[in-house]
Amino acid sequence: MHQLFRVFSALLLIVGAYSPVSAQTRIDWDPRPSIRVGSDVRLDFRLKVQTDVRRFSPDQPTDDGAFHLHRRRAGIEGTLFERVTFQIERELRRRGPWRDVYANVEVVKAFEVRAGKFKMPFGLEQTTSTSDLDFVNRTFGSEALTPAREVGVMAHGRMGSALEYEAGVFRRDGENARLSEPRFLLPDEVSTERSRSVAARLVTTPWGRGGGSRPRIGVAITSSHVPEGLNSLLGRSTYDMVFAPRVYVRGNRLRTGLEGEWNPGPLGFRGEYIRVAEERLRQGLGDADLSDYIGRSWYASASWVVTGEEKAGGVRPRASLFQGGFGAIEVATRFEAMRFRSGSDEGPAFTNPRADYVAGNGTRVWTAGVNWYPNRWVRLQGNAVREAFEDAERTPVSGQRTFWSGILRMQVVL
Amino acid sequence: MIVRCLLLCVVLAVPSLARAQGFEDLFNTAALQRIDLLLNSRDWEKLKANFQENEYYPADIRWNSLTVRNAGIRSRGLGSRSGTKPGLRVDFNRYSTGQTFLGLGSMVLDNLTQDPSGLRERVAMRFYERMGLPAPREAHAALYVNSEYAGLYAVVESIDKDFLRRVFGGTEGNIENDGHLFEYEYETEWFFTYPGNNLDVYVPLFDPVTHKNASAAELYAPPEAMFRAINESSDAVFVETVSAYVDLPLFMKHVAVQSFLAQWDGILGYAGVNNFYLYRFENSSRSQFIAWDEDNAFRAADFPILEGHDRNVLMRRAMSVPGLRAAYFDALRDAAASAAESTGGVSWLEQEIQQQRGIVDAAMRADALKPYPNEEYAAAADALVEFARVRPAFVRSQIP
Repeated sequence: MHQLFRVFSALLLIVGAYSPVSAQTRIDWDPRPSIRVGSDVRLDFRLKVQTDVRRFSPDQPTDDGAFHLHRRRAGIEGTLFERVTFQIERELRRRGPWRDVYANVEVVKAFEVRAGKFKMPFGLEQTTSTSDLDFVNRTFGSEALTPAREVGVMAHGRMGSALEYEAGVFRRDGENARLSEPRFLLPDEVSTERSRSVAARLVTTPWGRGGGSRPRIGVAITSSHVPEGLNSLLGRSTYDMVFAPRVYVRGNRLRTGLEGEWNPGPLGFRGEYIRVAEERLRQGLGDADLSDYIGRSWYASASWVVTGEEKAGGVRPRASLFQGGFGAIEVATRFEAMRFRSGSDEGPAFTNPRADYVAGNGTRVWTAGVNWYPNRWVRLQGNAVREAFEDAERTPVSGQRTFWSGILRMQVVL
Repeated sequence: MIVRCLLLCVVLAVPSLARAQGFEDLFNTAALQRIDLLLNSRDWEKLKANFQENEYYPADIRWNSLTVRNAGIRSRGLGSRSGTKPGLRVDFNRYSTGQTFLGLGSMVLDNLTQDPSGLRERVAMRFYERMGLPAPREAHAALYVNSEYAGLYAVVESIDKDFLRRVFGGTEGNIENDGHLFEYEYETEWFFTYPGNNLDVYVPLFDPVTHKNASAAELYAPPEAMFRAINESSDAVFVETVSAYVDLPLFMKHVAVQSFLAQWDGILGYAGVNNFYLYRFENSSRSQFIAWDEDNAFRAADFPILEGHDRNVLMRRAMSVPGLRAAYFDALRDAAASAAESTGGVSWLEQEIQQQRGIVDAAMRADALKPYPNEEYAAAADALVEFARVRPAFVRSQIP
């Protein structure tokens, strides 16, 4: 918090130093606190608070019925001289962490450069802010198989009205793919393995003209080197239970993704397919190469703003609560599936992290939800989640395959 | 060194030619087994580096023409833990439910680091068996890890449900084997004094091998009652009260065999009770002690036959009962007679030691990872032979 305050103070000093010789400085409050110096400088102050209450069936130790502060983030975003944009965001906790911290320079529309810490260009849902999602949680696939934020440099731009690209180089493979253990080194051995990654995404809007309601289709890819260790991606359930534990990997991790979105009027449709293949070179017994470890997920979702507001660009109630209206109501449903398995399926399957044929496990999740937007800053969400596991022995309650949970969220975003 | 290795190869060729395939063949007393472990090389180095931890690593295990895929192995032992020559526990069903090896769910590869002769454990367990007491089956094996010789080990049958089934029979009929089995975990000096009525105290002492998920009351209320009875029952009702929990004549026989074997780290251990399993029969409050880890047997031929009796509450009180005292000395007499039983002028115990010594000699001498030199091995083996020759007469002479 102190660090964010220091950043904020430094930015105010810069603005203060700049403003006497420039245009008039003004403060706006709608839709959020903002300082503007002519058209050259804009500083917006952001605040995001999400608080949840959960219920599980069967009950879980965390199921105490109390509200938990899920997110409390503050940030600053702005524009300098119409060419440079930046964003700084941090969790309001003693140890952070910092979320987005980057600057973006627009050379031309077709070529912009972003540097700092930001989300790698992979995953439609992952690169959408949680405050803009139709559901309380992202899909398991988006949480487990996508890289999320990383420090790096990325070129991106828009080619005409039908094509967008993003391509970057990153320090590691994202926050969702943190290594669980360092490489075990033999005496006098020095690890020279690096985990730098590259990522690229291409999105096209081939049909229709203008506006955010046109169908969008995208493909994305990431490639990185994963150091030796118990470092594969893993599958975690709503109950925070690991249903597909890590296995030993070493070599290339290749993600491929296909995504699509269409928001015609009050309707919204989204779908995504993600596949991750991780090499397991020399990870077998007797140091044999093993077949790739493969994680795969897909989902399809649909939403409908019952009160008729446009879905594209975010739901904005026509008439807010206490201002002659009730706000906006949206209903949504989503089906998702995720599974981990090995490339080999010869002979008996084992659960050990060095097996060539790993006993796979997967989950299928159906979510139904209602979103109420009393005004443009507040949203209340209610989700019912049904989760069914493939292997009844590897679930939150061994022998039980299907689980229900309910989540209520109140969100305030400035 | 080359001669030793060649000798070892010749010795190891014998069992492989035999093509043994069964449980009895694995524990064949007349052969040195060869067991191969195939691990990821980093796992083997990691296991040795972190030998104090119980982390499992996957391994393929080959014995003769049989291979068990993806078993789990981990470092084991208390004082015998070693990062050079690790003692190993092998769980065949760690990564695949129901996988067994010759009917075994698990077994132990004892690294023999606390026994310079390499013979004590194996010979002691054979003697328990000979005396009609339940004991794990054992065999010597040359262990190879990723095709490199890792030393002479003892293959030890785990004390688990498979063992109970073999020793006490099936669940059908009157003999039940679905009771509560505990491994005693040495914490500190304890001589069967009453730990108190707080069941939490018993948790670190008695690690459940069966019924692991049972409630604390189901697991530990009977041991609590047993140790309360041992300590707090009056002399007048001691036998009657304690007999509800322990077969006292059988207990005296167990201790007598241990005393004959000069085991100084067992139930009457020098630093408290140690090295045993406790098995409570199904639908019963009665428990039986099962011997485990006899590396410290054969302490000395003149090891006193009453050593440790006064320190241990159960033994002290039992020895004050004339009938039980007589049972103890009778069992000692039987043990001495059994060990001294002669075939061709050589006692059974000496024959057993000499036979096993002949089987392991080359493998032991080729074992460069053992924590003692070959001279110490030879001296320890000689001392065992001497023990066999002297101990029966010494014990008889001490019985009042």
